[in-house]
Amino acid sequence: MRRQGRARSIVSSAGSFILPLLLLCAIWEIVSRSGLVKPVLLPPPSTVFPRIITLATTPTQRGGSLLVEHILTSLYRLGLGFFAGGLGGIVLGLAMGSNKFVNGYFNPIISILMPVPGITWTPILVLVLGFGDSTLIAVTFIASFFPVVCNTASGVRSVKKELIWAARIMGAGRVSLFLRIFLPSSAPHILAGLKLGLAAGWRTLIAVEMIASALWGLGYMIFDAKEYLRTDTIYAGIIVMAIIYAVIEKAAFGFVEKKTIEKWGVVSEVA
Amino acid sequence: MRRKEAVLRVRDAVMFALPLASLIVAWQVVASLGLIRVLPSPTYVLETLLNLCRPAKGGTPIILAHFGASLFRVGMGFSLAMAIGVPVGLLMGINRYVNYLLHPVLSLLMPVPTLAWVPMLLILWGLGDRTIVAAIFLGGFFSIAYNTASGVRGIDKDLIRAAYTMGASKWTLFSRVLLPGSMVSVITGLRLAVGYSWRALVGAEMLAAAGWGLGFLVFAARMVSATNVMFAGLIVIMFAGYLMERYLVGPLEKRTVQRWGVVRT
Amino acid sequence: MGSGENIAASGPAKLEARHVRKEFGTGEDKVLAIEDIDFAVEENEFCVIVGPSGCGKSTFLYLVAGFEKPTAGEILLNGRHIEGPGPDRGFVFQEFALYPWKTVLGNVSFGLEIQGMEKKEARRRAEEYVKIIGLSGFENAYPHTLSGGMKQRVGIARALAYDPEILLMDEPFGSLDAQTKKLMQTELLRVWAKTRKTVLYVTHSVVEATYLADRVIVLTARPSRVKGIVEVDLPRPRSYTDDEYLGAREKILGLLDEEVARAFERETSQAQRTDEGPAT
Repeated sequence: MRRQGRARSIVSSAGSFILPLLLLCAIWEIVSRSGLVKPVLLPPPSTVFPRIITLATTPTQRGGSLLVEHILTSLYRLGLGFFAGGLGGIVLGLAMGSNKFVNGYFNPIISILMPVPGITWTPILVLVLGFGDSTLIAVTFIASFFPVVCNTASGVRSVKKELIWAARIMGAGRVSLFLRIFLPSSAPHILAGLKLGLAAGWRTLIAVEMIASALWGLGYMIFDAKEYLRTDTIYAGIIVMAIIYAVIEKAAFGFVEKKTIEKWGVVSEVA
Repeated sequence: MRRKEAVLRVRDAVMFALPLASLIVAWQVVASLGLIRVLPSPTYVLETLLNLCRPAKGGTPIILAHFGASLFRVGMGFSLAMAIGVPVGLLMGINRYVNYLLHPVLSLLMPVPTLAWVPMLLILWGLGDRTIVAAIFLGGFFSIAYNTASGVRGIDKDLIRAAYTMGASKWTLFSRVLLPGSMVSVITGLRLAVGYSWRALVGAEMLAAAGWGLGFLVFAARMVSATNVMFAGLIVIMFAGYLMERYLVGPLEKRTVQRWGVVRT
Repeated sequence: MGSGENIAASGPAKLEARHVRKEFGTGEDKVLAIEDIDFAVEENEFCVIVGPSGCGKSTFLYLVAGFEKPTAGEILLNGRHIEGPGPDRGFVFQEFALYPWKTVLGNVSFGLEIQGMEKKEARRRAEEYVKIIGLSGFENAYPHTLSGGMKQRVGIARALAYDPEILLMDEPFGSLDAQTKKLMQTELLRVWAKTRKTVLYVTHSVVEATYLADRVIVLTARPSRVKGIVEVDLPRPRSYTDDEYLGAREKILGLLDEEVARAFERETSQAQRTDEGPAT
């Protein structure tokens, strides 16, 4: 009984997501072919989706597929940058949330630096690190760092006093308090921060791939395609980007959320 | 009492400036020691900034001209995003079918980096203001529409039932319950959109500007390895972003949401 | 068990529920909330519905309000079918449902404004009702600055302001603490005495029901039917402690206890079943 129910709910939720998209694709196809817009500007899905396949099957000099190469390059950079930014962000966030002095020192710095768009650092980084992966990873790091710090810090600060007192009365020491109360309590905030950090890192990475002439990567793929007016590649790239991000988010966070937040009944919605 | 307040304020300002000052000092030290070759010293950057304040041909200070160009573009793009995003979001919130159709594509395209649309825009309109404004529009649109929609759908169902039981028509429900009720989320969306639009601006200017704009300034400076100008531009961008956050978004929230005591999520 | 002991004393009943049935969901997930509710409420009567939790008493109130439609059976107000929500009924919510962007006065006058009353006139009416509920001076306060008891007073004023035919109240004091609850019950009766509106009130508290009601309708556990109707023919204000009050309370409790035990048993046996793992 239970297995049937779960299968059915997966199908129905997939249906309510995929069906409207298919519908929109149909509308898109019709509008494209109707001649209302120049075909260059809005290639129909029947051109774009096969393009994805073509890109996926075109071999590179080293063998392997062109599209996959671009994707993996971007993901590699994202992975490293986000890992560093997320880790650093959590560490600093925890420190800031629990220690007044650390907070007092870093807070002004962060509030000045945070509104700076990640891409703005690119020209400087290029001068220091050159045009390669290091710049891209560095920018991703910067972009993902800030949301993580902020959310982590506010998560630590928002731990309910009652929970702390209850633990203290039961004899918890500093370390115990930290690991068993602060960490799980701020888990939803930390997760929310990581989600935002991933999104920020992703956006900035793709942007910088365009600006910093990366040679490989989804951002570069799209940027380069414009030189040849290959709008089908551009749209294909955008769709691939959207899907990849959705998959990453679900895979990375869905799993963790299930094991922690959902189980504990503490859901936090991030707009 | 007055004096105590003033003392507190001064103290807060100092506490705020101290860490920043320490950073600048560290910067100066690193630059003087020549640890990072390309790093200009803070004094050099300051000098450059002052230079940029000198008037260009037209009579306005150069830096202000760049700033003005950027501001104009962000203003247009953001207003457009608001003008189109809010109605779309409202429509999605009210009408089940519109929501069904648009929600998946909106949540799919929302995380697509704004700059990914720029190559397309470049093909359409080439370099220039139109491309940049369009990029900014795209940056802000998604979060405004999404948040507005979820704001409408998230309204306490009892508030809607109460209105119906008092005899409200569909239009009354919309204008007098759904609209004010979704204000919190709409403002959240606008808040996020300000950040996204600003980021989109700088990036788009780096790719598509031709002559003026803060992003263009920083980008062009790199071309000629004028690191001092780059840093000066960076600082102006930093400043502008900070000002916008503090003086644009904050007051807006105060006058509506906080007055109603509705806590924002 | 006793259904519909509604002896029409003088003229047609104000509100009639005729063999009302309510199902939720379809197919395998179908839930029968209300099996057969059948009774009538007289004009000017303060009628209270009690029942074990989950029995569908709030659901029934939603049917009367028109927020949901019955699966079978009908509900008549003044002899006319109920087609949907409308200003002939007033509703007071457990969670107050006040509009946070409107002041106290704004909330109370909202119903009047919706129905097209001129703003000045609506304000005047609203001010009267604000006075009746005892919140003079708070006309321009925003709901979030008010206590729970004050909020609910606004809720009651709002529902009464446009003079509905019947006042529906869904556990209105359920969110309040015990002291405030008692005060509000007395307040409610005081306000009610001024207009003697027909009231249909839902609660799970027998103490409350006995204190407020002219008649108490006891529902069975889910799926609900009318288990019994108890007349509480005592003068007001009532005391919580004198013999007649206690007697009436015992009568109601007698009917209710059985149903509460039944509902509890069903819940625990369901929990046991799910603990044992998937059946298929």
